Parts: sequence; structure tokens; C-alpha cells
Amino acid sequence: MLSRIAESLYWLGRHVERADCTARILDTYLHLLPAGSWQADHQVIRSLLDSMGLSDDETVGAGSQADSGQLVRALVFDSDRASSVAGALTAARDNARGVRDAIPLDVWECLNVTWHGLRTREAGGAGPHVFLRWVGERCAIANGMVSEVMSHDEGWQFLVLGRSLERTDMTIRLLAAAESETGSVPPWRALVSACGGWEPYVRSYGGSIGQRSAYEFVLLDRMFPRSVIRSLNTAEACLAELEAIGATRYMDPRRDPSSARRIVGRTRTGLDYRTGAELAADREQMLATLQRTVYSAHTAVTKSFFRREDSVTWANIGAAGGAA
Amino acid sequence: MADLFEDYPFARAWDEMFAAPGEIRAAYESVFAALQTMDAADLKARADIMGRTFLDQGITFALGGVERPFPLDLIPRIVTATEWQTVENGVPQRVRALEAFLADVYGQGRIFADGVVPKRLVTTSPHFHRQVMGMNAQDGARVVISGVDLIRDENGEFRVLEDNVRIPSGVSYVLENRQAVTQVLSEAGADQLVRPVSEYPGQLLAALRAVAPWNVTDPNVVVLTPGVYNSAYFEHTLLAREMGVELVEGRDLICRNNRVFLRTTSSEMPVHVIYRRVDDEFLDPMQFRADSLLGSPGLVNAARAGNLTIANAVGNGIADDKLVYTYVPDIIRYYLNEEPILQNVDTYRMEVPDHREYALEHLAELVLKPVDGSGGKGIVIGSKADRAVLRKARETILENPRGWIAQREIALSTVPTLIGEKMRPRHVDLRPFAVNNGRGVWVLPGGLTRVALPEGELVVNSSQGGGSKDTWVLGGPVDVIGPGPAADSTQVLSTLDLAFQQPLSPPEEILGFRAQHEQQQQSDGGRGERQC
Repeated sequence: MLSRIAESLYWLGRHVERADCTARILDTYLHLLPAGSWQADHQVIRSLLDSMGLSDDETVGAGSQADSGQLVRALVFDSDRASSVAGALTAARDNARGVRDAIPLDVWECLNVTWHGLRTREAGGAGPHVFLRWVGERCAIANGMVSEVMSHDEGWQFLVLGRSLERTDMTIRLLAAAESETGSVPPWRALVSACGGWEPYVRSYGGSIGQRSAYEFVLLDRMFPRSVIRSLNTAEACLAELEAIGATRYMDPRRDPSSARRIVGRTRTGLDYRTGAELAADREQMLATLQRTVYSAHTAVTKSFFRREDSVTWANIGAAGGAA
Repeated sequence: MADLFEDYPFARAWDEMFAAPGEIRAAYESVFAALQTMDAADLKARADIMGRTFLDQGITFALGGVERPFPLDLIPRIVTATEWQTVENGVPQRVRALEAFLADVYGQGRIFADGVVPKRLVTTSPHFHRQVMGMNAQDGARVVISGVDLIRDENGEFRVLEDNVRIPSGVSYVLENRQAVTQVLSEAGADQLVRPVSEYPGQLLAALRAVAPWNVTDPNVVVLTPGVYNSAYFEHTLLAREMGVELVEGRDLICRNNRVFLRTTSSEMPVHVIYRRVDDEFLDPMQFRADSLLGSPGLVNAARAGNLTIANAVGNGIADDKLVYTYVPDIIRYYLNEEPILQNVDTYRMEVPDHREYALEHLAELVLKPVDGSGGKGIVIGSKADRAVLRKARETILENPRGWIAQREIALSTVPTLIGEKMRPRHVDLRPFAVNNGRGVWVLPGGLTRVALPEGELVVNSSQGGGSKDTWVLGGPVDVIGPGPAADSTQVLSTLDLAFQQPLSPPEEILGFRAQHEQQQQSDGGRGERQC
């Protein structure tokens, strides 16, 4: 498949997931915090912004003056910012537009309708909660179409790979911000809810929640589809599949299709054979390792699958073609 | 008469629905009957649903950077089987003649030696490309895709307004309009046999595979698009998806040793046929504009080496030059020894002194067109222009006579169109699409009907606020309608020539496709033997 299309699909998966996760996180924290404390000087908000890499951003107003409205605008509605909800959806749609012939019409239409809806929804003035819920639904539809309508071919593997890596990434960022004080609601509950896992958590652990069990659930739960280990497993499976597909064809020797799988697999194994308590004790180092894993996996995928040759130079053509 | 048609005005132009006030042409009876049951609000609601669907699916064209749905009027334009015969014979004749002309111009130049067309005329055209001089691998299939713009004059005769043999666009709207109209106005066509347009992508792919370099058994076809910002991007994606081939951009291609490859996730995949939607000037920075990022350096050399077919061929622009247009009847007679089936619009060449003199005297009755213009740009309609404009036009013509032609102002035929609450006549043209596989020319039964939405407006281009209509070509006595679709298409498709010359009845697509596919292989073999 074309490198350009593979790359677009990979980013399509990432952006939809980013919109979905950001929407869920913001919705959770907007809800859980007491009215009025949704401000930049609040500790949780600060660490969230921090983890999204926005703490120094002037326009977000992360300094001190920011009011909640400004923050919500920047994180939810600002479509020029790729980390905002609207921005991620716009980017997803742009990627889909570039590969319209390679994805099912339904998937494209879903993203296109969502993109058209962004403006009207924002102008609708029903507030961020309604908007964020709507985004969640649209992402669910998009993901449903991808899973049920799209052929599970090479392109689909790239899409799911992007989604899994992004999901891992977002969860790690959330973990990094989770220790901060959340006011009336215990921080660990906020963490699990922001991952969308409160109900399954309660079912397996009962109502009591503490750092250890929350960590264990978010990182290691084998059944919960958004846990880090599940996401890494999915990514690894996709990479294995892509490697297998590539093995049947002539492969450019300069590419190493298994490099990303090795990176992901190594970290996944590290999680697999540890307990929640061990992980919680080694918190900082573990988060750093996970973050590094996602980053290097992304780089490896880009290098081995989306690689672009150096652009052809004039001299090159003359030498190779002899017809210039 | 229904409310919708109250006060329907009649003028000099040929109205395609009404022969006279209150007298409906037979072909339109079922549409008219269906409209009787509706009022304006009804129609409007249906049109809105359609607009919404178009927007949601991204069926748009970009105008000034904004994506808009292409305005589609619900009332179809109907062409009877007999009327269509003229088109179905006339367009292939024209394409064959232009093929011969192009082969000659980029080859021996017999037509110049025989004094039929002045050589100066061709070599001064900005679309004449010396870079492809002497390339003859693609003779007979330089114009794989063509769109000859037709209009109907005051007597209902089809006339050719211009030829498009470079990158005619709009076929996606033909396919989408048909789908939209059958969805929201299903009652209108109930008792008529409307010929299907859905076979176009299959025919196009078959033709593109047929014109592949002779030594390739299983050619890889791609569609080359300038990218998502191109106004026709939607069409490129639709064609690629419907043909099941890759849609590529210039940066996906790489040329090495006069061969062309695609960059893929594993390695490089060879390409044999490029259906390009990129203009000549941007196609190959090695030959043309060096700053172009839309093409790929080396494409023309690969084509010259016989490893690549570019469709349509580079340099076709000389054949749809508006000044060459005036010579097309002579060209047809010269190469084919036939009389033209489709007439031109009466045209004056500004570079011929007699013509120029006449035209300058009668500017107010003529339509002035720049010879290399497209998209309706720069056209001056004499009867609508004021003095200052005419004076300026006169100066421009005297300055550069090669750059202009003048045509008799023709009242384009009209079709009822929903304007506000009422049906009103609006001028239309027709672009039938023809596909040439090197051995025969197949005309898509249908075509793009463009309609000028402002009252009295004669320029129907989509970039000038035009809309479109679905075009129904009726099956009828001139067609042979078989008993069952499956059995029928097998018979029709039993030889390639037949498949291209005879109208297909509703296609059994998979079967038909495979048959064509196999025939490509055979025809490739045949071509190969000839060349050896």
C-alpha cells in the first residue's frame, strides 16, 4: 500500500482517539471538580495542562489569569490547535480527505459530518458538556464503522496501530497528572473515570479505591480495553500483522519492519510480569519508560513504513536514466 | 397545467420540454406527470435533502477555497434515443479525427504539407509541446478520455461548442446526479428505460488497461491527482475508488531508469498507466515547469521510452485549441474522408483579414472568446456588452488576432428549472464523455448537463455560478433490448469492438468486467505482435 496512505490512516486513527480521550478527560474533570475551581491555578488542571504540553502556552492562559471559559475554549473548541478536541477532529477529517478512495465511504462521511457539525455545535451554546458527549458519540460511530465496515487489511492495521499508540499515550499522560489533589473527589477515582473505566473497576474491585488498585486497573487490567497493557498488546498485534504482510513481498533492505514491534514488545513484557504494587512503587521511572516507548515506537513506524526516499536530484536522473 | 409551470415563458431558444405552450414533448410526459403531483415546497424539501447528502458525503467542488456542493436541479434533462444517435456517432467521429490530427502533428505533419491547416497555427499554440515530438507509441489512443461540449441551437440541432481532449472533468457529477435523482425523484422515470451511466468506471479502466505499454501483461493503473486542494479532487477520489486503483499524488511517484514506481510501505511498485489529472505544464518538472511539485520528474522520458502510458497524452492541448476548432470539419474530411456528423457553431477567425473585418463590424451580434481560455473566462457576449467593453474588445483583438475567435450568438436550448417557487426555462449545454481504448470509442449514455442559473445567462460553466442536471438518455426503438440482462450482456461483450460500439443494456457488472479484462490481455498480445 502507498506510504502516504498508510501514514494518513495511522494519523487518522491517532487523531480520532485523541479527540475521544481528550473529550472524556475534560468532561470528567469538569464534572468532578466543584464549581468555580476549574481554573488554571488549580493543581489538577495545571498538571493536566502540563502533561498535554500546554503549560507555557500564553493563549491557554496557563499562567495565572486564565478563567475557565478561556481554558475550555482553548482545549475544546480551538480548531487550530491539534491537541484540542475540535482540532483533533479537524485533523482526522483532513487525513481522511486525503485518502478518500482508500477508506469506506461511511467512515469518510462520518468524519465529514462531524467536521461540519463542529461549527454548529460550538455556536449552539449548549456548553462544553453537551459538546463533549456529542464528540464521544461521533468518535464511537467512527470507530464502529472502522471496525465493522472497513476491511481489516493492511490499512486498517495502520489505523488501529495509530489508535492504540495514541490511547497508550493519553493514558500515560493522565497517570502523570493523576496524583494532584482534586478537591471533593478522590484523585484515583477521577483517574479511573477519565479513562472511562469506573464501572468495570467497581465491578472487579468493589467501591474502595486507592492508589495501588487504581494503578493496577489502568495499567494492567487484562479485560478493560483502554488499559495500557491492552493497548500495547493491540499495537503489538498490529505490528506483527504488518510485518507478516510485508514478509510476503519484496522488502526494501534499508527498512526494518520489526523494529517497532521489538520496542513495544519489550515494554509490554515489562508490564506483564510485574504487580500493581511494584509498578506503583516505581512510579516515576515506569511512566518515563512508557512515554519513551510510545515515542520510539512512533519513530520506528515512521522510519520503516512511511519512509520517503531522498528527493531525486537532477544529477541523479541523468546518471540513472541516461535520458535527461 | 400544474402551478409550477404557471407563466412559463417562451423565447427564441429551443425548449426541450415544451414544443409549444402547453404542448409537452413525448419524452418528458412522465416527468411532467410526476411533477403534477407536487408543489414547490415539496420539490424544495427534496432538493434540500439532496444538498445535505452531497455536503455530508463531501461531493463538492472548491470555489475560492470554500467547499460547496455542486448545485443540482432535480428536473432531469431528457434525450431521446434518436437524438442520442447523432451524439453517439458524431462524438466518436470527432475523436477519431482529432486522434489522427494529433498523431500527424507530432509525427510527419502531412496535414501541413497538404495545406489544410497552417503549421503556424499549431506551433504558436501555448499547448504545443516540442518535448513530445516524434513520440508515437500512443498513436490512436492519445485521447483516452474526451468531453466534447455540445449545445442545441434554435432548431434543436446538436452543435459542437468546443472540444476537451486534455482533462475533461465532471463525469463524477454524472454518476452522483443519477444516484441522487433516482433517490429523491423516483416516481419520474418509472415507465421509461433510462440507460445506465454506472458502467463508466469499468469502461474507463478497461480502456486504460488496453492502452498500457505493449509489453506489460498485467498493467498497473493509477490516477494522479494534484491533491486535496484541487477543485475536482472529489472526482479523482470517486474515479479511483470506483475503478479500484490507487489515487496517487506526485510525491508518491518516483522515476528511475525510465521506469515509474510508487512508494509503498514495503518497497516500490511499478506503474504502467497514469490517468493524470495534472496539467501538462505541471506534469514533469524536468520538461516543463521546473518548480512544479504536482508531478514527478522523468514521467515524459518514461513515456518516450515506452514504459509508461500517460492518459491523456501530453500535448493534446493543440487539438482543443479554439482556433483549431474552426478547422475540425476540414480535419474530419481530410483524415476520415467523411462529412462531419456534428456541426460546429459558425465561427470567425480573427487572424483572417476578411473574417476580422466582418466581425469587427458586427461585434454586437457575436460572442468573442479567447482561444486558450477555459471556465468561461474572458468571454464577451456582444449583445450584452456595453460600448466601453466592445471598444476594449476591439482593441484586444487588433492587438492579438491569434488569441480570439468570434461566434454567432446562439440561443442555447432551455430546460425547465426550479427557480424559487416556479419552473423557469434556463439555458443548458451537454458534455458527453467518450472513452477511447485505441480501437473504438465508447460514449457514456448520459453526460453532464450544465445549466446557467441566472436568467438569460448563456455561460454555463460551473465556476460561473452554474448548476447541473441529470441527463437521461432513453433506450428505445434504435436499441436492441435483449430478454434478460445477464444473457444479453454476455452476448454484447463477446467481442471488444462490439462492447465499445453498441449500447449496453443494464450491465451485469462483474461478468462484463471480467470479459473485458480478458479481452485486454488478448488485445495487448495483438498489439505486441504488430510491433515486433
